[in-house]
This record gives sequence, C-alpha cells and structure tokens, in this order.
Amino acid sequence: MKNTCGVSWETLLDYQEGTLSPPEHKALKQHLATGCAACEEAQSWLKATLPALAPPPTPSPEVLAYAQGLARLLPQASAAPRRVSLIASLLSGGAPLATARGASAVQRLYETDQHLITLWDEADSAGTRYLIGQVYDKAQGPLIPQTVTLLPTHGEPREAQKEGSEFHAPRMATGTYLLRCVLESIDLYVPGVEVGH
Amino acid sequence: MWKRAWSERTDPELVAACLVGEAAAWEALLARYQGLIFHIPLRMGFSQTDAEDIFQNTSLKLCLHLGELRETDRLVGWIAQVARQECLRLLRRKPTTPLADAELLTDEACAEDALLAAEQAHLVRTALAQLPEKCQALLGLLYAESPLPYAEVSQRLSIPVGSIGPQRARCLERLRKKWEELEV
Repeated sequence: MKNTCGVSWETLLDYQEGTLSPPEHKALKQHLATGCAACEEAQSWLKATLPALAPPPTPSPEVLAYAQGLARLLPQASAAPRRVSLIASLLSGGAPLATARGASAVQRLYETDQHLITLWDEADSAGTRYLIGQVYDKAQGPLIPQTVTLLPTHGEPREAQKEGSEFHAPRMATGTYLLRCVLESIDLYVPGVEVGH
Repeated sequence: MWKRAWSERTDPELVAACLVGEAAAWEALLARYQGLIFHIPLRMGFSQTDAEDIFQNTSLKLCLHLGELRETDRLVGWIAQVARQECLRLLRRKPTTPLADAELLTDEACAEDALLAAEQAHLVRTALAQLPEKCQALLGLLYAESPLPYAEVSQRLSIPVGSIGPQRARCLERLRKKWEELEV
C-alpha cells in the first residue's frame, strides 16, 4: 500500500525501525520535512503501536485464579434484587485498620464507613487455624450476620458457624481469603484476609 | 445450536451475562481486560507484587460493581480509572513504595496521559487478537520485548527470510484497518 504521496507503508516502517539504506533514509527524511500529512499520521501511529505489540505481562497463575474465582460472587439469575455491597477495607486502603499480635494469635480490625469487623486468628491443637470474628455497626453495636463465608484463592468456600453475635471458623488452612458477611441489608467484603500469617 | 464464543461478545453482552451469574462471561471479561488492569500499575512503576495486589482489588471491585455500571460500552475507561484509584490507595497504604516516576500517578494530567496510553495499548492488542493467527505470530515474534532475528523467525514460522519484511508490512496494514474500525 502506498500513501497518496507515493511513499509505501513498508518504507515508512523501515524508516521507523532504522533499516533503510542511508540514501533512502535521507530522501524520506527530506520528504517528511515537507510536512506530508499522510506520512506523519502513519509515522505517529507506528510509533505508538509497535511497542504495544509485545505480549503484555500477566499476573501469576494464583492471582489470575483468584480473579477468575470471583465469579462466585456474581448475582444468580434467580436471586433476589441486587443488594448493596461494601468493600470493607477501602477506608484503610486494603489493609486492616489495626493489627495486634500475640504468641500464636493475631487480631485484626477492618472498617467501612458504617461498620467495624474484628477477626481473631489463632493456632489450634491440630496445627490449623481457628478464626473468630464479629461485626459491629458503629452506631448500634454488634450485628448478627446472616451468613459469613470465607473464599480461598483456591478450593471451596467455607461457611463460618454462628455463635451468638460471633462467627467461628475452625480448622482453617493458612492462606489468603476473601471474607463475605451477609447482613440484613448489605453485604460486606473484606479482601486479602491473611489467615495464619 | 450455533452459539457465539464468549470471547467474541461485546462488553455490554458480557456484562449482562455476568449479572445473571454466568461464570464463563466473567472469565471472558477478565481475559479481555486482565492485560489492561495489570499494565496500569506496572506502567505507573509498581513492583510485580504490588501490581498483583492492585490487580486483585480492581477485579474484585469490577465484579461487585458491574450491576451499577450505566454505560457498559465505556467499560475500558471505567476499569482504567478504578485501577488508578487502587494504585493511589496502595500508595497511601505504603507511602514508601518506590516508584520510578511518582508524578505519573499523582499528577492528574500525567495520570490521564498514562491511562490513555494504556487504553490505546489495549486497543492495539484487541485489534491484534482479531488478525489471522499467522499475522499474530509474526508480529508477536518481531515486536516482542526481545525481538527475534529474521533468520529465527523464518525457521519458526516456516517462511522465507525475504518474505518477512513484506509480510510484516501487510500484517501491520491489516492491524491499522482493524484498529481504525475498533476506534470508531
């Protein structure tokens, strides 16, 4: 293909890549200096496009698997009207608002604009972890979630057991989880909950 | 019954399918945009690990807020903005994060340029994915981060060395046409 000025696409490409012979390079440079609009447009497209042709870097397979696994959070066709969702860690930028460490236990506090979520994570006798949590409305005090689910990066989701206003999850494997608390009118999500770290 | 592959469907079609719980649509949407989501923090200078954190949080936000999107055909811009917000959040959380050029992220105009460049790169890759496989392979080898010499490209793709230059030019012409169609 040639531009209306007669310069071929291949010549422009060779010029861009610096593979033209010196006389051809000089001739094209002189032509470009005349302000040929078609050639300038083609040159700027090539300059922006060629670097983008390299295969893009990709996240690790574990991270991709986590993102693909989020399909579990999509609303189901037969489900009730969509509920409001809050990502709990947003106020603290993805990290717990506070973390306290003991000998074999860690307590973490997460926050939304309306809620606080505490998570107590301790070693049990079987070498796994025991998780205890509680959700508070900042104005009204403890809330009892309808369900609390821990979604691991790999594997099946774990449903926590309710005990009073607390939720308990025994025999948890060390790893990173997405915690989902279904409250009466809102779903809270805490991404990146580190268990056993 | 004939059914279009998920990867061939438009963004609004994929979003609509996600909203009725279609996991395959979510995977296709993610496959389409994972490069863009991951490219943004890397372009801003974050490490691979931090970029993966940002990738996870952006994906989560996308998944949870799909139902609130009003203009699903402008998904690319929305995703780019969310990825940038997640970059800023991570920087607030870890203010000592070393960035090659922090202005690229914190300065509004620089950030807009960087996002635009990332969106453009996404458009180029989308156009590339729609070219014949032979063109994809040729351009992929010639313009990889460490490009292969013509002799090796010739061996790998079984084409004469002398044909590589003209074929490369033809593939780029086709790419430009596809790119123009997509941009419209």
